[in-house]
Amino acid sequence: MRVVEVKKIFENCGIKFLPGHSYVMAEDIEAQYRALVGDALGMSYPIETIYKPYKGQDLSGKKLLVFRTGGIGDLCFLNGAIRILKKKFPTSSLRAASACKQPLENLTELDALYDMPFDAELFKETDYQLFFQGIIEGGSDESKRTHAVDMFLSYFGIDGTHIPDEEKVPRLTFTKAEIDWCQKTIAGWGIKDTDYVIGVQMETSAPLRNFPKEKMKAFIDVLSKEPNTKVVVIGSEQHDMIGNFFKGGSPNIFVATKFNVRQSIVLCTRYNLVIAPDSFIIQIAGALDKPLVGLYGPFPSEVRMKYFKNSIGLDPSVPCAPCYKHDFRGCVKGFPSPCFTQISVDDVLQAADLLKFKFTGAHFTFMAPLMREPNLQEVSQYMMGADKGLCFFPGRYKPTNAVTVDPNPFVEADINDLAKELRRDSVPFVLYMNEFQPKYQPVYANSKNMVRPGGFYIVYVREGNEQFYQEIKRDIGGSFVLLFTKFDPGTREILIAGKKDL
Amino acid sequence: MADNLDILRLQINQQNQVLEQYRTEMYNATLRFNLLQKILEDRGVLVKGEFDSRWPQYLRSDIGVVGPDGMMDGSLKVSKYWEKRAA
Repeated sequence: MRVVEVKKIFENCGIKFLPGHSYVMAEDIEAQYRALVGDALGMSYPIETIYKPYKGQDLSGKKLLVFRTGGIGDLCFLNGAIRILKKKFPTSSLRAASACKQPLENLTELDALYDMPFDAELFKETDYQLFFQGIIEGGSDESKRTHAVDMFLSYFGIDGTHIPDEEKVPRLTFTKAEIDWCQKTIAGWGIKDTDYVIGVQMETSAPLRNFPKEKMKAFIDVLSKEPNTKVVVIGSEQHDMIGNFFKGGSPNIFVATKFNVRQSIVLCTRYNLVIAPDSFIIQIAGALDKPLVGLYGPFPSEVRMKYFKNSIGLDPSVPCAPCYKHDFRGCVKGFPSPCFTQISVDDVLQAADLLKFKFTGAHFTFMAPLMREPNLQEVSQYMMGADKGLCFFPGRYKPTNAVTVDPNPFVEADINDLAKELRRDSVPFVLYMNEFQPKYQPVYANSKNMVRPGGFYIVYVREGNEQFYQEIKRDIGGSFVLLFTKFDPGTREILIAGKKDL
Repeated sequence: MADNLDILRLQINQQNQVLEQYRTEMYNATLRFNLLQKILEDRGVLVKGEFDSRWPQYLRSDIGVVGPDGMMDGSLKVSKYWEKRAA
């Protein structure tokens, strides 16, 4: 940060630079101004000459200026911290300055909000100043464990542990004109009040945190085909091309790239669900208590969305993640970041469905095959006659007298982690359903050993074929006495039950 | 003048992004080159196309995270904060 004297009048980005005044700006901005309007600038000196740092002093009746060059999402963290500070010192006067001030607009706790670069006179008018750059970017050990709002609070000298979570969520205030504009814009797109609107942010500012485009296109496509569902893809003007790629020919997808940051924030009030990578839309949607799916890679979702209600964070569990890289370049292991290979389209869709079901009580139609209950009437006698058995990969189907085992994290199974030891060595019956991918071969083989002598092993396959039916029948016939076998070519369902010899 | 400044800043940003891409590519290329050199020193000979086809495996053994299918080894962690807070 530098304080730069101005000798001649000039204007940039709506800010008027007056002669005889000094302005506070970052080093790179100063370099750019010197390249273009060098003759208008005079001496410059480091900010430390006039900076009176705030270190947790009593602010009663005092004036404080907080400033930060950028990061729209980071300004959201500041939003919560400012409110808490004002509550602690009600008589203080708080001012803020930033190049991305949109999340702080209309905030009642702030007495004034300035653009950057700002007049250095502000330093003389205020008693203390606090410069916020480099707290969460610094990569300190604390920033890897602590939520960003708690980091900001500790910088203010406030202990965040006793402050309720609700206080730490940013609070946004909108004017009536803004809300009217939002309703008009949404109506202009032909979106009705009854429609389920999903906002999807296309990109973050850092390529490292960007979700792979092909996967994003896949889940946007599926969601846009749902009845009464509209998808709004959010971005800035430079994302116009990629937005149109997502849109394709679909009338249910809207490209929102022509809006400024504040307008994008206001539009968030209409979304019923938000899906976004680690960026400012997450903070905005969290502040508005919107159902939220966060796609996280280089950062753990915990330090960014811990305090949000109704949010699901999807994190990859790989040795190098979270890497806490705050770079504006791609991952060294490839682009897009390979850790996102862990988050599949299905995961995003199921997380979205979970949130939709929680608030509307209805599921998306793409869930129908997963939700369909298998018809097990012909073999239910083997399950009902016994006490508690095991059901592997039940999807959303839960037999009444079985412990359900399913590695799918979105299913409320009794056991989600297959690495965890199963308490029972042998059970009266095992129901193995539907998952015959190569990676589950060991699970299939082991589950056959769990049946105790005299017990039953039942296999149900939803989308089978004749050849697979013969193979699986032969395989189960090897270790069990076959009691019931059925393959229905119409529904493609396979149902096989075997009994273990006494 | 304001327009000029904006255009200049945009150009500088774009140039920086291109530079960063080159840096990433150079990093990857250096990594590949070093591995190739090591294999050549160890074995003295390399079948044509072998290195490219086995590159993901080298990457796996060297960096230890990317599998032969180009996917990362690992699993998905799902946070369910909304559940905790509902109680």
